[in-house]
Amino acid sequence: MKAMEESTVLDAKVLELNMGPQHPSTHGVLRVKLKLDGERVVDAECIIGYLHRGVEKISENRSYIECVPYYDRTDYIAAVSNVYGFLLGVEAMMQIEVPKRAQYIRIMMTEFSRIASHLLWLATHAIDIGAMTVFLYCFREREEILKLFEALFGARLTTHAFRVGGLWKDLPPGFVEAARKFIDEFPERVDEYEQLLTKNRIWMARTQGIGVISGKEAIEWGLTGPVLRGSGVRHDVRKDRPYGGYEEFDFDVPVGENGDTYDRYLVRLEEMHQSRRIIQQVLDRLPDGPVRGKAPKIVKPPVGEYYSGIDGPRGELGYYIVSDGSAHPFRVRIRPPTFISLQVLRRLVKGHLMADVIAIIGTLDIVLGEVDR
Amino acid sequence: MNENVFIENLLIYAVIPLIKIVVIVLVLSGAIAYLTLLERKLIAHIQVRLGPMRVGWHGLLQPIADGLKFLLKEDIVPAKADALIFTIAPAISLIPAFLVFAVVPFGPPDMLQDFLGWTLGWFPFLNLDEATTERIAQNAIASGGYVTDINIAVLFVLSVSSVGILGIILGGWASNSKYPLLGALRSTAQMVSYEVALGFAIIGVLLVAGSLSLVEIVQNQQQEQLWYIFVQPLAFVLFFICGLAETNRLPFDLPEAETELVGGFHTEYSGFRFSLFFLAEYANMIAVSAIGVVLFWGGWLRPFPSFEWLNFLNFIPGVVWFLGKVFLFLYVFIWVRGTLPRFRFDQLMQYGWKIFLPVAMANVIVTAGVILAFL
Amino acid sequence: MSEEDKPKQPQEPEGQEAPEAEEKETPTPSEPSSKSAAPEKAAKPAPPKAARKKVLSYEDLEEDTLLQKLKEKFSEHIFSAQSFLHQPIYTVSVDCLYDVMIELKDSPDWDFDYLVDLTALDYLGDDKRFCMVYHLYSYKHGKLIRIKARISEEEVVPSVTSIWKTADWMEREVYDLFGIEFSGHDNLKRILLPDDWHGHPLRKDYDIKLQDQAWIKKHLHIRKTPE
Repeated sequence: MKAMEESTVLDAKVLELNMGPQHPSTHGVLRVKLKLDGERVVDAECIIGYLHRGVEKISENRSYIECVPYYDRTDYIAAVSNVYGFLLGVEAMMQIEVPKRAQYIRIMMTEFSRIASHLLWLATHAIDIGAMTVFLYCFREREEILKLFEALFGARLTTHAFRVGGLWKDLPPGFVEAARKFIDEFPERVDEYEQLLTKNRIWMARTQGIGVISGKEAIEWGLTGPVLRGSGVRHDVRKDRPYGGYEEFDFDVPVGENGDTYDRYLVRLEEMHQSRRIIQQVLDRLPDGPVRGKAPKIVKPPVGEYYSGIDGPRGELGYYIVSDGSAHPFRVRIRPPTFISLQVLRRLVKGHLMADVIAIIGTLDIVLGEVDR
Repeated sequence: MNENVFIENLLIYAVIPLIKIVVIVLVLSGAIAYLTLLERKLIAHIQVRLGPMRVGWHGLLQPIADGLKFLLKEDIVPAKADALIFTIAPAISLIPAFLVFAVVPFGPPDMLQDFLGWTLGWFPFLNLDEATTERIAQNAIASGGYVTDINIAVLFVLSVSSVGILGIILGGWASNSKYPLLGALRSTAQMVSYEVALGFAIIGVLLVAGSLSLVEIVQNQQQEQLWYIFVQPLAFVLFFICGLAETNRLPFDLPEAETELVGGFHTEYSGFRFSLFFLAEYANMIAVSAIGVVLFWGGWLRPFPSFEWLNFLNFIPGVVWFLGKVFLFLYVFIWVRGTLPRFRFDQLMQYGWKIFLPVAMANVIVTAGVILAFL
Repeated sequence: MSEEDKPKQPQEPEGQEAPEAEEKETPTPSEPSSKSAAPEKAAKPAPPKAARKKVLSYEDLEEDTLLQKLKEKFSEHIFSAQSFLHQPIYTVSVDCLYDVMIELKDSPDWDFDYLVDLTALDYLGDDKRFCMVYHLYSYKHGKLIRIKARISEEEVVPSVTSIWKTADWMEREVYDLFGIEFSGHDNLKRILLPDDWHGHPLRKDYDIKLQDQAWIKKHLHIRKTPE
């Protein structure tokens, strides 16, 4: 805008370009102020906050149960796991036993939500790089998962999935069959995307060696989830600090080697397969029983504090809950994985071309609802 | 008698070519409109969806609705834009795209012979005797399946299509905005570099054909009973890739890469002016396909002209063959778009200068050597 | 709106002073008095609750190795170590916060290479109003700890951006929402709210309905915002 006022943009030696907040590839209302030398990025600054709703402040003024739907709306792509993280914390503080069946169903739905989230990521990442067909293929599969969500939760996006002590209700009839059908077909579908992308010369040229970050540096930047694992650090909260019954399931944590965009892509694809494995195990071993434990009508955790971290699709999603013993949380701090991974963008894009900025934003898999909260 | 000669000349050199031009422009505009529909439908079916379904049967009237929409939309000229250049840039882009079709041979030189001989009788006020009618119908300028046949047609095509690039550059520059500027710079670099490789790819064909006239090139393929794609396969591959780049199609659609540059050079354009750029892009697609068919796929010739047992195919007129081949080309253009991701700018330039250009030059040298040595 | 919450705010400090007296009598929340006022403030509603239910409370960690090592090194600056639900909490003085953090990260015994989270708590009405909360994790040892440091409103917290790069935006967020200043942070400006916004929303005396009317008037051209 400033350069516009000075007669013509051609005067500027370093072109300052506002990418966003209205831009097709910033995945929401992210604004990146790019300084360009030709097409090469000299510097980049992220400007966020356009979607700030003060979820943490709202939480302090709501009861524990009323808080939950707000967390659906932070990371709206993976609403199920958001709620899961918070409820795990509340249940730990209240010492509520969650019945086995509910635990299993929770894990299954969380993994479904991981697949759905990764599918959406793959879709948008692919269309950012120009492969528009993958976009719609991914939506086809995601639709199937959303149908499952709808059957169980009654909602597709902001699911308000779980309740304190378990689930709202048991699986509807036909759910297990539908879930089985989905996971039986799923590997074939993923292979379809792989055919279009994994060995595609253009895809490899666009993603390999782009946005490289070493494992050590990734830890220093606090990166988590697929972004960290793409850099070769085998860390997964599900394995290291198992929660909610994950220790009973058998799955691998895929890691990359080079820490570039391509490796992160491979890691996420493999994670979808691993999630499928977990769901398979859940369906095979799903116990009978109630789906809701003994939970008081009014949730009043005792004085204390608890940090409940889970491995969301985007990385470590943490809820630091401080209770003063009343029905309202004294403070709920959400540790949003993408807020923290977004700050590495500046470090990753420097020296790359403008087209790579898009690829790197895509590979960080940000959700602005969560970044801004 | 004198009057008859005058009318004869008038018909041959003015009236009939004008009618041809009008027909071609109209048909071409319609073809472009429906090409957009074809693209949307094809891409949709590749992507397991239906595409436009609401306007007409299976969306058949969609292009008309789109055209109306473009006409009725507000035409915005940004406050800081260079209004004059901003206004004429789309026209600069569109006109050359149509001009190319002046030299494209849709059919053989005697395509309209029977048709003319038959129709001229309908106009008694012309007072044409049979001999004159015959002469008009025999004249290739009147009866050829093209507007004109000039002996430097290939050069004409290359130079005219370069002018079209100017429209994109001016449009992007005149918007006085950053995304269009970047888009325009990209297209300048991209088109200039790929035009070189494209030129060299065509030279391979020219060496074999020994002519710059598109009609003669097809006729030579007829004489040799061989499409030039079998003689110059490498040149064809290069031509096709460079053609994709010249027409800004995926995987080379960098000047208008939506996900990077919003709309590229046409970010600030709206309404009718935007639709002109849009038309130009599709006209260029058809033009590249048509030139490719003429140079490599035997123009209006049927497949395998040398196999006599396929002679029964001759009942299909040449123009149908020609259009069918162009359609195939366009189909592949769209198919590629549905399949491939986009290149990055520096990769595109690298491929252009480091791979396509040397290969195209080597192709020219080898072809020339072979012709010198053996023919 | 601001009038509306005015009467509410004085209430909070009162509510916090009360439990302090109460706490002495009821030993249920096993809090050493040297410990931060965090649970003290919260302790008020707890006693009746604790009477009914089995008690879940803070436990002192006396023979914790990390605490002993830290005490050796920083003696009087380390206040206490407790755990809640097996999550250890170390309370340190803000004066040595930076050195403790360096020790925790660089010493091979601890190797807390991953700063999980950095945030603050607001105990309105206390002398030391804010409490900085750091969550640290060690990939090598698989250990998650929490470091707390109480500060008063005027105090400046040493920035840990030079230790963990990831602290950059987290500190900016705390600065933005709590108004806590960090020394040594080279780009300390608002991150979620607009640069020229007044007020720090996560402070307890910032009512949930409160808005920066001047900002809204200037940028959104709304004369009067609805109640």
